[in-house]
Amino acid sequence: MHLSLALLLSALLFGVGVYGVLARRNAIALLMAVELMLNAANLDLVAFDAWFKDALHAGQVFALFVVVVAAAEVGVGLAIVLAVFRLRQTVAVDELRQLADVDPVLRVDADA
Amino acid sequence: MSLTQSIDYAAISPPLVVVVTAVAVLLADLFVSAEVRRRLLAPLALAGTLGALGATAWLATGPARSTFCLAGGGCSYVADGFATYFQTIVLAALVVVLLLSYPLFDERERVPPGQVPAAEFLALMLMSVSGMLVVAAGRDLLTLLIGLEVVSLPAFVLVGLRRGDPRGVEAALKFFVFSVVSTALTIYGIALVYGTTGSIELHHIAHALSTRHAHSGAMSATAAAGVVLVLVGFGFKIAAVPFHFWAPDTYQGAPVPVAAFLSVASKAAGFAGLIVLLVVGFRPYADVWGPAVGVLAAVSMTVGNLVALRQRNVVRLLAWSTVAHAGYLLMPLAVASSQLREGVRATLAYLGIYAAMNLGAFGCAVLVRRLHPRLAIEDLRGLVTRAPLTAVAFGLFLTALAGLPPGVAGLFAKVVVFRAAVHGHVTWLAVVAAVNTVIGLAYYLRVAALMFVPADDAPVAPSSRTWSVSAGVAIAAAVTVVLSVYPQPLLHLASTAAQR
Repeated sequence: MHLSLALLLSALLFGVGVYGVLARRNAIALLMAVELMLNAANLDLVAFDAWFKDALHAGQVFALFVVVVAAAEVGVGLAIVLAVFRLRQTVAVDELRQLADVDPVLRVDADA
Repeated sequence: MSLTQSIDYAAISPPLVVVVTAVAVLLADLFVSAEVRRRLLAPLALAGTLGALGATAWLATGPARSTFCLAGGGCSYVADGFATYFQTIVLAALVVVLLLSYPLFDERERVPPGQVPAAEFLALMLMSVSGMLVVAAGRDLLTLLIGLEVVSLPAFVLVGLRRGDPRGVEAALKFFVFSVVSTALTIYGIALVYGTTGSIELHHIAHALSTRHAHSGAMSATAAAGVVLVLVGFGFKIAAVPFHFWAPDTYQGAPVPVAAFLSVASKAAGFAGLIVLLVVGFRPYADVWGPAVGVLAAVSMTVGNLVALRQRNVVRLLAWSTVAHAGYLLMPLAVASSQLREGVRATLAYLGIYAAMNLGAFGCAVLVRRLHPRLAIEDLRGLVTRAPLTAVAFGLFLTALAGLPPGVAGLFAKVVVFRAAVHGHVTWLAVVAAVNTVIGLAYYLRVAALMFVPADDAPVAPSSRTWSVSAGVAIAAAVTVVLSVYPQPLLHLASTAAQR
C-alpha cells in the first residue's frame, strides 16, 4: 500500500475529529472527537514507521504510548463529566457559564 | 541487541523520590486512623518534596548525568544544569503550595463541602510534580509528551477536587477540554515531525531538519506544520494567547493554592519543554518559530494586561496577569538565532523571580479569602487596618509583579528580558513590552493602593488554621526580598543553566 493512502485517511480522520471538537456541545461527543484526532495521529505514526522500516520502531512504540494516554484521558475525563452532571444536571459545555468574563460587575454580585 | 537497560538511578532520583512519596501517602491513608492521618500525611508529602529538593541540589553540584541512552547516541533523560534549574523551581514552588493548601485538607471519611480529601490531594499534586521533573529533563518527544500528560492528568482532578463545588467541576471540565484538544494537536504534530525526520530524539531531529530545511518543498512544509502543531500544545501549557481561554476560568474555579500551583509550577514545566524543543530540536526552523513566538509574546502581554484592567475578582486579575507574564517570558525566545543563548538565560532568570512573586501573590489571595470569601477587589479596601501584615506582603508582591520599588526583584526581571530583546534585534517587541509594563502598573497599583486606603475597621485576629499559609507567604516574601537586594546568584545560576 502506498504511504500517501494512509496519510490521506489519517488527515481525513483528523479533520473529522477537529470538526467534532468545534461543532459538538455534548462533553461526551467532544471526548469521542478527541479520540478520532488521537487515532489519526496513531495511524500516521504507524504508517511512517512501516515506511521508514525504523529499526527502533519509534513510531509503533509511540502509538502504543498514545493509546495509553488516550485511555487515561478518557478515564479522568468521564469522571469529571460525571461530577459535572451530578452537580449541574447537564453535560452541554456551552451551558457551563458560572465562570466567565461576560460581565464583571454582575459576576461579583453573583459571587456573594 | 541487549534486552537489559542500565539505568542511572541517581540521575532520575528527584522524580523517583516524588513518586515514591505519592504512593506512600496513598498507602498511609489506607492504614492509619483519622486522628493520625492529619498529622502524618501533609508532613510526609513535605518531607518527600524536601528530599527530592536535596537530591536535585546534589545533582546540580555534580557533572551532568544522562540515562536511557540509545546505542547510536542521544539520551532520553539528561539531568544537566538546565534540568536541575527547573526542577529546583518546581520543587520549591511545591513546598510553598503544600503550605498554602494545608487548611483545605480534611481527614474524615466523608469530606464536608468546600474541603478536599487530604491523601488524594497530596498524592495527585506529587504525581503532577513528578511529571514536571521529567519534562525538565526529557530530551526526546516521547518523554516530553508523557511528562506533559503526567503533569496534566492529576491537575484536572486537583482543580475539581473540592467537594460539592459546581464551579470547581466547571473549571475542571474547561481545563480538561482545552488540554486534551491541544494534546491531540501536539501528537499529530509529533507524527508529522517523526514522518519527516525519522526520529523522535531531539538531536537527530535537529540534524534531519537542517537537511530538510535546505531543500524546500512538500517535506519542508510538512515539517514546518508539525513544528507549529507541537508548539500549540506547549502554548496551552504556558497559557499564552490565543491558547489561554482556560486559564482565568480554571484559576477562579479551582482552590486558590491549586491556581497558584498551575500558574507557577505548571507554567515552569511548560517553559522547560518549550525551550528544549525550540533550542535543541527545532533550531533549524528558527526562522519559522522565531517570528511566531514573537507574535505570541506580543499578543499575550497585550491581551493579558488589557483584560486584567477590567477584572473585579482578585484571582481572575492574577490569572490575566499570569497570561501577560507568559508574554514577557516568551519575549527573549523570539530573538535572532545567534543570540538565543542570551535569550534562554533571560527567560530562565525571569521565571525564577516570577515564581517567587506570583506564589506570594496567590498566597496572599488565600489569606484574603478567609476574610472575604468572594475575593472581590472592592473588598480589599482598607485591608491594611484589618490584616496589616497580609496587606504589606500583598503590596510587595503586586509592586514586584508590576516591576516597581519596593519589589525591585520584578524590576530586575524586566530589565533582563528587555536587554535580551534589544540585544537580540527584536526592538519592536521590547517597545510593545514597555507599553505593556505601563498598562500593568495601572491595575497592580490600583489594587495595591486600595489596600492602603485608611478604614475604621477593627483588626481581625489571625486564625490558628492559617499559620501554614502565613509560613508559605513568608517564604515567598523572603525570597522576593533577597532577590530584590541580591539577585546575582539567581542570574548566575540562570546563565550556567543556559550554557548547553
